[in-house]
Amino acid sequence: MEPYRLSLAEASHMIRDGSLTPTQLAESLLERIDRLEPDVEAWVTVDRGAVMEAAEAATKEAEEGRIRSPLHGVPFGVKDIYYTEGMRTTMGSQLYSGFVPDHDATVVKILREAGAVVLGKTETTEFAVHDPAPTRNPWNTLHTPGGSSSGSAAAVSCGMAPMALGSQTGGSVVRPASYCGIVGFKPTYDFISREGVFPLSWSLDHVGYMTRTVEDAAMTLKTLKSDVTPAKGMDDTPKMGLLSGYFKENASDEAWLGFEQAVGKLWGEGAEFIDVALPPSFGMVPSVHRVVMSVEAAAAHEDSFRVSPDGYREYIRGFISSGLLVPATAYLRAQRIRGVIIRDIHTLMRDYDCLVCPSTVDTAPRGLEWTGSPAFNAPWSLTGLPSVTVPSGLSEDEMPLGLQLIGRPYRELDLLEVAAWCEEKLEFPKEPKDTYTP
Amino acid sequence: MSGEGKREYIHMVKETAKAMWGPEAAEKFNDHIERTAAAVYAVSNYPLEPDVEPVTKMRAGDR
Repeated sequence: MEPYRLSLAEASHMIRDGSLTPTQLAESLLERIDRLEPDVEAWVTVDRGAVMEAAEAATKEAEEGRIRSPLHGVPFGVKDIYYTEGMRTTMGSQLYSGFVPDHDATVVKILREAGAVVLGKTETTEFAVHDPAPTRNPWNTLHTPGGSSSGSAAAVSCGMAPMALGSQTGGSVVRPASYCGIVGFKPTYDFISREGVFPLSWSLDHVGYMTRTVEDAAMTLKTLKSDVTPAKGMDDTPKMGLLSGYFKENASDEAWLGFEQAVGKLWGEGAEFIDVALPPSFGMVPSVHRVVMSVEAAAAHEDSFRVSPDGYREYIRGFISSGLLVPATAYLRAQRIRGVIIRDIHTLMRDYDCLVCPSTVDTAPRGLEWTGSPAFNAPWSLTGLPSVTVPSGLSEDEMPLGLQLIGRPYRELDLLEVAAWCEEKLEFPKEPKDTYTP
Repeated sequence: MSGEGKREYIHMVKETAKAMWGPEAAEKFNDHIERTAAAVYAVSNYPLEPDVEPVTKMRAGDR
């Protein structure tokens, strides 16, 4: 098997037993990038010299018996809003086109110290909002990969990287991961440091990442957070709270049908699903999210926006402008309602291993102008709860659909345990054809 | 929540936007201004007891 096809866990195992070197893995991934990048456009920067230098250093250490962590010698992609020392970090904006940080974001630093290899910087929408990146969906290059972590999702999906960092303020990890048929995972708010990640909305921004398997997501988490709470151990089959209401009303017919089919399959395997009614406060999620995000984004960009408004593209410019008009009392009121929503959701999920709903309103929209709706992910960014998407099937036109699972705060490994069970039972075809344009 | 009150509020915000950035920019960002103003109106009309505190430093739950 070509090394680029290996999951992170498979590559890790082979590096540890000496049957694969980090150098071989990096070479294979760089060849894969060379082959598909003209169609997919997932990367802003790939410094081949730096990749091979780091891979060769990891190879030498492995040969000397020094394996730093399970991610030793494993290359990963970095969304271009994470600071990388000595490597251009553009935020997807012309304002930062020449910006080279003098230090790594904490997450990047941890991964490098664990022996992982920075493969390059992946495309993002401008400042992680909605003005699109050039990236295309590897399942069908006429479709968006979603955003804002567009390049990370596309790169992992088509075998350019086994793992890539993303970030989520509304739905920027789970949505693109679902659109691209991979696993996207967002831990509890602030569980992983946001230091060195360019802010969009401080109280909503989450570090997250994409992988091709749930096992890889768990392995990455354990490397990033050695103190993560161990899984308590699931009963034979999971007990899940099934969310309909808002989700059924807003899903396309095809997305809801796909969700029901996935639920049916898991039910047939023994999972227990209980319909749960969303609390009345949940109806405030879109308004509260909008107020909090627009005000915090306006505040984060205020100085720069005042000096260079023309340096911003149209969507984010309008979004910041609207945030500048919100009264302080409305922002605080939104944060007060947010507290009520969080309390109500915590109460709701007390009796279940996790909550479950479709990952997205629909499959990836056709065209690259719009990265799709975060409506099914924003509630979990607002409440800060860990969430993960597991690919669950294909639509009629062969675009991926995902199942979104939501866990309890700081119980990430419990959530990933259920996700792994679902992944195994759903048997999703793991990769797109080699870049498909009809 | 009265539809009339919401319309009046959104109109007021649009007028403020025009005064701040001029009619051309306000028109260009009309969709954003309307959506954010509608969200503010909804938030402002959600009943809350006085002792409900804002989430100022987000805490997703106790460890």
